[in-house]
Amino acid sequence: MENYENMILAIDISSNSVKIGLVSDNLKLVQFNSQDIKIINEDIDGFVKSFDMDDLWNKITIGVNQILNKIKNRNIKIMGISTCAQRIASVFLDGKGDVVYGGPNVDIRGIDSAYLIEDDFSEKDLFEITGHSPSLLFCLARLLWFREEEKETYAKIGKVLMLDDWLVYQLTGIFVSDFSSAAESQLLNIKKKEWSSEIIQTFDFNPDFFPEIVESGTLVGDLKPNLVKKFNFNQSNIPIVKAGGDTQATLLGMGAIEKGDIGISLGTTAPLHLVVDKPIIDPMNNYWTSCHSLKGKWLIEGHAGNTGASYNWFKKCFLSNLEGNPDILMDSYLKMSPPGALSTYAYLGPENMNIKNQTSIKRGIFAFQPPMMISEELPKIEDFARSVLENIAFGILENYRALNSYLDLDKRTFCAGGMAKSEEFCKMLANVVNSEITTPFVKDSAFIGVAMNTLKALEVYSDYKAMIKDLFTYEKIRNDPIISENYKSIYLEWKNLKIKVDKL
Amino acid sequence: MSEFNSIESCLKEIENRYITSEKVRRKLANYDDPIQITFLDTNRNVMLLVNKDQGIEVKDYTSDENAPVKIEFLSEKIMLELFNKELGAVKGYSSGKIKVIEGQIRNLMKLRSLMF
Repeated sequence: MENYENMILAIDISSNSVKIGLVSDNLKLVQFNSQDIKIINEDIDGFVKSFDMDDLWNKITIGVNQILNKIKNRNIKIMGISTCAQRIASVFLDGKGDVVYGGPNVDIRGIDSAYLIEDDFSEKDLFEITGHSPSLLFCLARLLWFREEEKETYAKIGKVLMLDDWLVYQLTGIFVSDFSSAAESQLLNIKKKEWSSEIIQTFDFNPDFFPEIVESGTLVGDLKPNLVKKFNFNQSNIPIVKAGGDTQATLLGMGAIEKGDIGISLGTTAPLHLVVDKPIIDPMNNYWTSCHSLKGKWLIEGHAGNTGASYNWFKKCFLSNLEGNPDILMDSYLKMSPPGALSTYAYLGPENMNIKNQTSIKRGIFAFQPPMMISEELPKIEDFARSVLENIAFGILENYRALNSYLDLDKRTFCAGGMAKSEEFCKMLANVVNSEITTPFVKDSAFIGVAMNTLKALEVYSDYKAMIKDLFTYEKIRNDPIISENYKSIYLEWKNLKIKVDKL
Repeated sequence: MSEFNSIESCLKEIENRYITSEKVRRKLANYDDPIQITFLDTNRNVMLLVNKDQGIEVKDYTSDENAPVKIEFLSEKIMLELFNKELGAVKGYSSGKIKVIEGQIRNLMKLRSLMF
């Protein structure tokens, strides 16, 4: 009998890149590659953005081919392919299935059409239905934008998909969405888990625009025969499994699946999610309610903003001319600088989620002891590095506290993503949030979540809990109560100064 | 040569956009909050008074400290650059050249068609 290695091909379109991964059936990441995404600015103001969809698909095929080439001499069977993608991003297709619009999560063309929404729905009423605000970000406003600003394009629209839905359509030819994707469109009734008939009827959208919605982890079809050939697969009938939003896949891949779990996804941005077993709507219409990848589980989301982006910016600006790996340098700086970084504070954006009330982009600031004659301890590069990471941790803390207030029970805290690869940062984060943090062995957990969906769809496992119990390896990062106590006052110093800095 | 070379010409353009574009008036059909624009280099204030889709009044060198929407420009030059399409609105915001001091995001979205 021939012995195969069973593998899952995972495709992830994140905020900045297309990533292709190969994951074993025991959830080990075997291979992966990554390519930057091309985003086009369509107006001088910077509101209207779109993907170069041909370039995007081309990069996916290049990435898949690279992975398959690397393993061509191994006896590997691809059990299935599954995908996830940046949330909020949406794609409109014409009647033939060709793209008429593909827009990323940063396309805010809806700024010019959101007024049409508020003529019919108050912010509160729309939030009660969809769990999301403000309208300018989402698919609903984008659809109305085309109806208002580009009537000819709107007339061509035959299907409205979220980005992951488009990816599945490309692979199978089947139109299907899943709840984790659809929930980020502002078109889903989050409580009923169905496209909102109230919204669709109010705006007179063609109901056929919207595809069937399935649970994540559903087998939706096989890879199209022409792609089997194009990718040089030596097998046919490759199952395609619907996963959905990249953040939900990341949460699954870090094991945040039970009521009361808080998952911190440390990517370009840092969304925090509390897992709940019913759709809880924030009465202040600030923290979003979404669907998890698991049936019967919803998510409340706080968002700390551009965390990974701030970290990468600092490395690029201040460390790129230094010898050594910038990530390792950052870790060494954290060891050298004490909590509070000699009263060096950074204000680079990470903070409590308040998107709906945000009317200005705040200035980035470093506050530090200047080189005066009486100064005794001047900050060094390691202190500035720590201040950046403390700003990120404080931004996470503010959202963490907000989510904690929703459920009166003991919570488990998880984190994964690029910054979770830094042991020193994870230690600092545990100290700042004053809690033990659990982090999975594989930090690129979107790939793992996507693979878990495949194992579920193929009935290798009947539920995610058993999969996690059998296949996950975790590291637990315990906070030091003395340092946590110290951080309470450091955070207050940072926050008090922030109130003044925000007025600049 | 730049199309807009004075604040007066920009203010005239705001009026023109309102008067000539039905779409702009439709966007502002439910809007009547006074808007105060301040240029920090000259301390010049301008009030925009939109009366839903019924009319607009632009009052130069006028201020209202109780205006529910307040927008600051670092200098008059910034508004000229904005209207001459030499500066994008997002870049203006993120670089601190344009700042919204007061106002709800819902109202500001409507004003984009008038000003940005």
